[in-house]
Amino acid sequence: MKASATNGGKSPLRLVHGTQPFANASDRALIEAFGRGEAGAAAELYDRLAGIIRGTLYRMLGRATSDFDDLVQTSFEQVVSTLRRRTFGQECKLTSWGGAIASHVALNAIRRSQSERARTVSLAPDGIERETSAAGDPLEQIAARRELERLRLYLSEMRRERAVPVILCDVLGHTLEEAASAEGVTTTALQSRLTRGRTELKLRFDEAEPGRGRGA
Amino acid sequence: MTSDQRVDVALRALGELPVPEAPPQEEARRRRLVVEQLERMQREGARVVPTRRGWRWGAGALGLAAVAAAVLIVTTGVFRSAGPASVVPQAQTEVSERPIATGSEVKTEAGSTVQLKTALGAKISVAPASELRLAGGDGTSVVERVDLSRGSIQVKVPKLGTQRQFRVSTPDTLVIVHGTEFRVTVERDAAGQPNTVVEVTSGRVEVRRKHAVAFLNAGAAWSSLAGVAGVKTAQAEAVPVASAPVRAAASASVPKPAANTADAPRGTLAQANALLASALEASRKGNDKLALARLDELLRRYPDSPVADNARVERFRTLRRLGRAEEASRAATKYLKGDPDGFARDEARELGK
Repeated sequence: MKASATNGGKSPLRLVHGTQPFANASDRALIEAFGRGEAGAAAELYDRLAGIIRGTLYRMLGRATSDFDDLVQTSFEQVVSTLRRRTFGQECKLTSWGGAIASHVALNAIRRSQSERARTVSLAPDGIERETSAAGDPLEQIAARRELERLRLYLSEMRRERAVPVILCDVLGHTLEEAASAEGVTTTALQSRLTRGRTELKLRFDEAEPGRGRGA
Repeated sequence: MTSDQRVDVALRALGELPVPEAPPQEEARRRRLVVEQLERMQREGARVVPTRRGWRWGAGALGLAAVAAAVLIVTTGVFRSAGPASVVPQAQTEVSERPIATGSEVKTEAGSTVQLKTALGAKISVAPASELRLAGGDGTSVVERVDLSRGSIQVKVPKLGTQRQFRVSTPDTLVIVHGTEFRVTVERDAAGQPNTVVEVTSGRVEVRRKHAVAFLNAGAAWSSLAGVAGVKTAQAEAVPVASAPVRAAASASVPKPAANTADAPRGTLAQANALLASALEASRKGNDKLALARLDELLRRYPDSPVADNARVERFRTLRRLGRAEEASRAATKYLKGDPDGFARDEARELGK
């Protein structure tokens, strides 16, 4: 077992579990090894995707909800399932694929929680603290938290083909090409969807009264 | 702040939101759980045989024919076992193979399909939005039955000989085959009434509904609603089994089945029908002893005839009328044993008590 440093200082150390025969394998090689049933491939798949999947779910949900682990597992299962039925292109990064899957899972979870009228994102003390920790003024903290809640709500209400490109590119920082490959569309189509998604988000923010808008 | 700026700020804030890390022990536990699940999926995936169409039958069913259960090949679908529910996630679209027990229910959602292979070797392609139950077949049984309550299945049955049968039971129809390829579809009208449509690709299929039976050859189609109205498609031979006169099966307007697809030799069906007609005619005239003799002759000479079951039913009825209750009971029990889903099963059960 060994540990390695990560950049930025936010996460000083990352735990690396045991021997990793596929640590240097390309995404395609890893997927093929997984498909052949080779030992260690599942663990490497987890290690490559755990960060993006957990991060995407956490950011979209606002906290580690009670079903957070289930959503993580669901995301992994969907990654494996969808990888099997499609040719995994060299141009598509595994992390982009994982981010796209996790985005869909998160949006589904938000919609579910809305339908149950039990949105946990706005009631999560842990999430609130973290979301507002950067701001000093309590009023600004509240406003920032509401903006994030509103953003999540609007994204979950939007058509999936518009919301996911926004999440992939503007929240998770993927390139247009990566997002396009993950969504299985051309870069041009992805760009169009992204533009429409941003426009719709702005319209929704426009329609909402600050502090009294939807999701507030 | 403009809405553009608000959105940009919110998106940036969401992307920069720090994600807390779990304590190492907790993270190790979570990792172990997920990796174990992925490895399970990996093991299942090792038996996947994808093709351009997304699936194909596994060669030799991977030796699972010896398993006393059906073999399921899944693309996307849900099946429930007779025991605790076992569900294939709907998002799972890869192919896998696993044995499933008799009594299992199979349900496909819209846009999903399931492929089944039974212990007798029947291959069943379950269409989207279908529901069925594997009601019979334990690997040693001579009769396998699928109860189709909704949707459509395409079935390919290898030659089973005269002693083994594959059956499809729908809410209003029973389809019996010994080796053929056909499709059964259950439709429902606005009132929820079922209509069973049977289409035969190759071979010959026996279709029973209430007190009527029809034999469909390759290329024929049959509808239970049309059957009610007395309408049948070309190449279907109708043989009433109640007290109505029996029509000769090999009439000029009805093509005869190909010799290599019919279990009974060509011509024996007409002779068997003639004997049955004679027996029924004798019964109508009150001569049950003659009727019984005709039925016994039919069953002795043509025990595997498509009308043999009809003769067995008439035989226990005749014995009952003759006051030979014990023999009638034995005959009814024998009929039930050979044809548990026969059209006269309720009557036979009552008599066999």
